[in-house]
Amino acid sequence: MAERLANRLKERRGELGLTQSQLAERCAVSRKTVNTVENGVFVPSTLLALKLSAALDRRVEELFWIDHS
Amino acid sequence: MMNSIVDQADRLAAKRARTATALAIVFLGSQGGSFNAVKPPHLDWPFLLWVALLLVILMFGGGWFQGEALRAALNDETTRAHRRCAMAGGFVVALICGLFITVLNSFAPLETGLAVRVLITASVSAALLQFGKLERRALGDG
Repeated sequence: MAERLANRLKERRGELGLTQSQLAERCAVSRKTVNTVENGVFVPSTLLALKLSAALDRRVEELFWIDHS
Repeated sequence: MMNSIVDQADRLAAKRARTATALAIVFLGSQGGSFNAVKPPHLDWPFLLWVALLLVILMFGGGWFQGEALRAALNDETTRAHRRCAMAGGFVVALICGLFITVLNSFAPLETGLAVRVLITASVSAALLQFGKLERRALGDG
């Protein structure tokens, strides 16, 4: 069974009215990092996942979960 | 927001990705015709300088004259992951190339200098091309 890290970053970012660039600025990373994490292309480190959760004001497990599809 | 750190990092990263790809192609093109010209014990300074330049670009990624925040954004987590992946790709190409040279050498002995040059050219070019491809892909699909 394939496992992947799913996320709802885009949805939460939309709720807060943030662009990828603005979220990237808050986390001190590049826009491409936010973009690739959002699209599931890149699995973030724990450090970045915590930064994203802090920037989006949600707990990490509310933003990321393991998809067993 | 147009000149924010993130926007600047995006622009510079795109430029770096294009430069890495272009340099790899130019390097490959410039070396392709010069393999016959390798004559020991001649020390090929242009080749050494080329490789040193490409390795510096590959390993450190530029942004040396930018501020600390911009440099950090330019070499953030995805860039470092792409760099590692590109280095691993270059290593695999070096191994394949080494195997190919070993087999070829049993039929027609090769000069050591030539074999090393082919190995370095193939591995460094492959690593740079892969880095450029990964970076462009990450920048492009937003």
